[in-house]
Amino acid sequence: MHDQTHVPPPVGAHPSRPTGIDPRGPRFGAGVSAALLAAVVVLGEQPAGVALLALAVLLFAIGAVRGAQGSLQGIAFRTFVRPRLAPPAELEDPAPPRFAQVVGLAVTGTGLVLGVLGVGAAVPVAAAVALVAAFLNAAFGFCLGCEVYLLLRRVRTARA
Amino acid sequence: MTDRAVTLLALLAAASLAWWLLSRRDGRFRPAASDAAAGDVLDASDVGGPLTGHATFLLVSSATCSTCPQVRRVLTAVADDEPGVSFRELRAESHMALVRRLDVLRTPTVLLLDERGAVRSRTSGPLRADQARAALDELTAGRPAAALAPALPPTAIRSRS
Repeated sequence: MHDQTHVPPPVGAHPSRPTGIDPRGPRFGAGVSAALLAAVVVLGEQPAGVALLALAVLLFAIGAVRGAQGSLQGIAFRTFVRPRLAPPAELEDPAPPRFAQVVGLAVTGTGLVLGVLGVGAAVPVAAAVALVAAFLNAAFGFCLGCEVYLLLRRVRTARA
Repeated sequence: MTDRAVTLLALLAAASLAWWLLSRRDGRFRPAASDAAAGDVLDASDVGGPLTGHATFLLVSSATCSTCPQVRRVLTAVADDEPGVSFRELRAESHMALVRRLDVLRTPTVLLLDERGAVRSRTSGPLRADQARAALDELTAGRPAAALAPALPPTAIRSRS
């Protein structure tokens, strides 16, 4: 029953990657990240805030390596949420949400490292930046991390 | 703690407002700054093949673009429906020089080219079919009747026989 066999394949320019993911998965995951990061913003540089930011870094790291669908939130979505939902109307390329996980890892990782080195304010500030991106993704389906990609490419080719 | 919670709510409200303001521009075609100014006329080497028909939608996509598949579907359908309208797609990563030249800052960006390859209008973000059709109407509106000639020959032949 859990086999979504009548899901149409995504119409896309990636014939080499025919498998898509349910776009609601990354949004659910972003909701989990947003809740975690909101708690960090409220707790600030207290030990509990730093610990929760470390947890967020860990979740982003897993998502960055395995893709949003392989992150712990992605697994939770497939196990507990997706069986309760109708099949998705369309599938999504897994590359954009995975890149967004890398951006999240970079932002929260920087905040954690600075926080551990004694720059306490970096903890809530990094959490706030990542929270905005996760919140926009969860609430509106807008991938802020994805938007960064082309700008980074432009900066990189400008230097080259 | 309360201060932090207020900051949190203000942050989320500001993010929502910013998103709402920016997303109002999504899919709305804006005329190109000047009519085919230097550098804004694309040729076959830019778009990777000859330009056909009287209008071409050029989609600039990228590897991490989450809304590109939706825009691709819309534009493919519109190009299939409208005679003389074609659709092309470029991956930004492999055309960085063009991305710079055309000031493309995000994907998806859609450029509407006329039969000469001149960029007439452009938009970015999610796109609906009616917005794409409106841009086509805009393009054909300012055109002298003679420019629509490709649509005429079948009628001319029929009236002669």
